[in-house]
Amino acid sequence: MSLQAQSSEVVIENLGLSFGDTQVLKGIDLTIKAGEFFSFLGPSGSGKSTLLRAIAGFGPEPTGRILIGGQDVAKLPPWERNVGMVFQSYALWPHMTVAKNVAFGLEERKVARAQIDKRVKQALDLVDLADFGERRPSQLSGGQQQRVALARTIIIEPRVLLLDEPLSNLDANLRVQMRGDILALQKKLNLTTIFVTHDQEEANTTSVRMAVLNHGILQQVGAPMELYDAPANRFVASFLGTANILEGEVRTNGQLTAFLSSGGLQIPIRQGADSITAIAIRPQNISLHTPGGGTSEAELRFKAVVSDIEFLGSTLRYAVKTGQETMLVDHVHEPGDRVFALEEQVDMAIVPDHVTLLRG
Amino acid sequence: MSVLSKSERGPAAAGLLIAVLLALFLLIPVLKVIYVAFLDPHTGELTLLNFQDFFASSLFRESFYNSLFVATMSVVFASIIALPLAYFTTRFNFSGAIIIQTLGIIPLIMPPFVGAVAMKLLFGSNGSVNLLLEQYFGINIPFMEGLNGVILVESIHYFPFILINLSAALINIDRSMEESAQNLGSHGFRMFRRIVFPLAMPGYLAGAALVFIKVVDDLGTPLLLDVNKMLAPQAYLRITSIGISDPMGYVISVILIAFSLLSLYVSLMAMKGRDYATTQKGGGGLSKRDLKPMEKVATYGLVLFILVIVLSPHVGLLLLSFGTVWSFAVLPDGYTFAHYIKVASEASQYITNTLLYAGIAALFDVILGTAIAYIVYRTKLTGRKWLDYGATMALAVPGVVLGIGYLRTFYSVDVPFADQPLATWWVIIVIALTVRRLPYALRSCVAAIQQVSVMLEESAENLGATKGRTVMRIVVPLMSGGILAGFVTSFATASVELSATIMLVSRESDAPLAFGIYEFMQSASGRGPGAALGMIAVVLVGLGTYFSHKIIERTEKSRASARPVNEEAKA
Ligand SMILES: Nc1ncnc2c1ncn2[C@@H]1O[C@H](COP(=O)(O)OP(=O)(O)OP(=O)(O)O)[C@@H](O)[C@H]1O
Ligand SMILES: [Mg+2]
Repeated sequence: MSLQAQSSEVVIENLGLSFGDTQVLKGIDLTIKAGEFFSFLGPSGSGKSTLLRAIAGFGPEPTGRILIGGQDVAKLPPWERNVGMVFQSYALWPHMTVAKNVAFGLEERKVARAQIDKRVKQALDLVDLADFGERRPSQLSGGQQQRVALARTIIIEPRVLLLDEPLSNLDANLRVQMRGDILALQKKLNLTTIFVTHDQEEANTTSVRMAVLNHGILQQVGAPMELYDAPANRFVASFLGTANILEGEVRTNGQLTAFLSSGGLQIPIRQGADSITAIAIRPQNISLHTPGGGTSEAELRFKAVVSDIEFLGSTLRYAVKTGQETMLVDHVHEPGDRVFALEEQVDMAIVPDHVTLLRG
Repeated sequence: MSVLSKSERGPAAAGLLIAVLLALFLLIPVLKVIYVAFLDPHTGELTLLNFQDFFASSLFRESFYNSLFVATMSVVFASIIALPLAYFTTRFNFSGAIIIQTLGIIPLIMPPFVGAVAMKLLFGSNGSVNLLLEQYFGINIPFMEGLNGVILVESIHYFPFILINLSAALINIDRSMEESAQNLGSHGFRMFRRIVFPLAMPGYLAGAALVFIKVVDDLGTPLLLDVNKMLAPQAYLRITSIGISDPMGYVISVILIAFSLLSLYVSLMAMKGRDYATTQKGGGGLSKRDLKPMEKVATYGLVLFILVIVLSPHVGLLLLSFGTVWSFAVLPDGYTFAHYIKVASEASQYITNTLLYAGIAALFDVILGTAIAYIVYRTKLTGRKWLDYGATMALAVPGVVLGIGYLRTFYSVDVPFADQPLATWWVIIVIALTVRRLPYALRSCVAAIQQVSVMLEESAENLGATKGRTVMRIVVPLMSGGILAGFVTSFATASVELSATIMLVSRESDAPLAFGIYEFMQSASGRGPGAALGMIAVVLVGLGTYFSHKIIERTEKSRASARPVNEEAKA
């Protein structure tokens, strides 16, 4: 396979970017390793596309540095960066055939015709579109257009592959399939890839590591499971999955350190966590029991009343009131299980080890 | 469908009436012209002899090539003017939108023949520019000699058709089209040539085809510049000097129609399968950048230069209308109101005639336009689309052809009480104007009816209003902005129409403004008053166009605030 990119590391240092007076990216520091599949995750308007486009050289000129393979590209025009970008809308040129679209980048690089033809064929083979070279983009399905856009980008052997919500225009089934295809292609070519999405599942299943953005500020970087299990702040905790977030403060009483929520829940925590202002507990880490049953040492029990029940298919989601707090609790649903009724008195069990302490 | 429902009877009757009118005043005259072109004038048999005669004559062959040459070169020069303007205004942060809008109305407010004589005084071999060139550089450039003059005048009048279509196409290109090219290593002019321009091609071709048709059909400009060896002037001269039985005028008409259809076909083919409206989510339009200081100077310099050239017919006309004697001099010797006074006292009938003719024509146009728009977009009548096609077909019929067709068809039709043939009665001028400007009014009415939500009509019917009442009380009032705009456009362009009217004016007292300008401009002493009349026409039409823009703007604003919520979401 000659389409072997020399994958590069991307380092972003103290990056800031403004549209006129509105600052959209603030002090971003980030390192994406060579060959890594990396995601930007965040709610709409958080600056994901803006950051991605800054790496490609589009949009207002940012402050700070963007190093690709050690070279600062922040001041380079887009056409000198050699980073490949796949646009959300694919941006295939309607006046050119598929083969022409794919050949474009090499033609701009003044590659010899014979060489171009060979590599176009290879690239189309790689995305399973060998027989579609003479078609117009408008004669292709969404998924096929997507693959042409990929072929058109990887043929120039970019140092980094940038994908801005590449799957958002596809239907659900195709999305899962394309996700796999993109991942396989990335592995095969060992391409440093940055993937923008606001779909957590997409980020979780594809990326080695990911960055969560909110309001143009980097919230946390890490492997998907790390971020889920140990969110750094309230935003990450509630953005990735569902979390019960309890506000409160740490109280120390002699040997005992505990978190006291404003709703009256008291949970012992390890010492030396004085700056904690909130804790997060995932609904699936809480369980409900008939009052009076035996307890294990590792867990805490609180009296609670069921205030709401939602059936979500694989799980039953309860809302229970304990003190002033309302907590969400997920039970895996199995046929024949005991289902608690509305207004029923229950015991709510929490394992302190499953509690995440939040500073910010 | 043999039985019409009760609510369809009214529209069906109206549709039928319109179809009959279109057949009578558009289809039959044009078919008659084509038919006569293939008729042996002596034996009355069908023959190709006339075409053989046409191409056997060196005069006609030359006219044929000249028309082709002039139209092609006008497209080339119009493109040279339009391309940079379109490029700058869509690529850079450059206050050009206003320029485009202003320039865009030039071909509408002043047909080229009005400024032609003034252009001669500015750019002719003894004109201002050449006098200056001779004085300072010792050169004389034949800007206005023969065909050059026609090409120059036509291209600076009609380039806005290319500019507007091309700019609209450029604005519709999605930003990502360009960004992905940059991402793959392309930029600058190369990217413009490979990506941007091809995407804008359909728009460009549409504009270029329009310019081509307009130039081939134009009669007044070559006549006023004394260029007779072109197709339209030849047709006119044959019919007016030899008579309506001479077959050559008809042969030329057929050729003119063929050119029209050909250019329409070319632009349609160019569009086919290339629905390049590529704007997608995430902001349309090419990314614009600020100009560097030096670029700014160069760009503004170029735009200013183009503006000066484009406005020169207007400036020339203004000078001419106020000038005393202007000959062998850079500027007129002195200035006077005499021409305007003369025009006001001697030529006021031209103005009143024009107001009358163009007013009636525009009124009929909006009535017909509204009816056709309603029938096409609100009923299910069989063949309703053909009304639209039929009315729009008038665009492809050169004025000369329509004029000849009317002369031939209606010469034998006597008007009761008026005691003369329909072909020489002043009403025929009004009919010609109505037919020629109907497409303009129709497009306004169609645009207007498409903005009226069917739900609004349904709710009126739901509350008990009949179809007819609904049209009167809901549809027409809601369309009023578009109807008014259509009226003004039709009125403005009808006021300066020359090519059909010139054939149909049978006596001075019936003549409209455009004819008056043409008559005055024929003689050296009439130029001043002719220019004054021209200025009056420009002001008249300019004001009309200005108000129609205002009306459209205002209705769009009130629409925007009153639009139902679900339609907002779609936009
Ligand atoms: N051209 C622009 N001019 C001004 N502000 C802009 C522009 N483009 C984006 N923004 C602003 O920058 C912020 C970040 O936008 P961005 O497109 O990066 O968000 P995103 O995270 O990609 O969102 P989404 O998931 O909806 O695509 C938004 O608040 C947006 O309004
Ligand atoms: Mg985005």
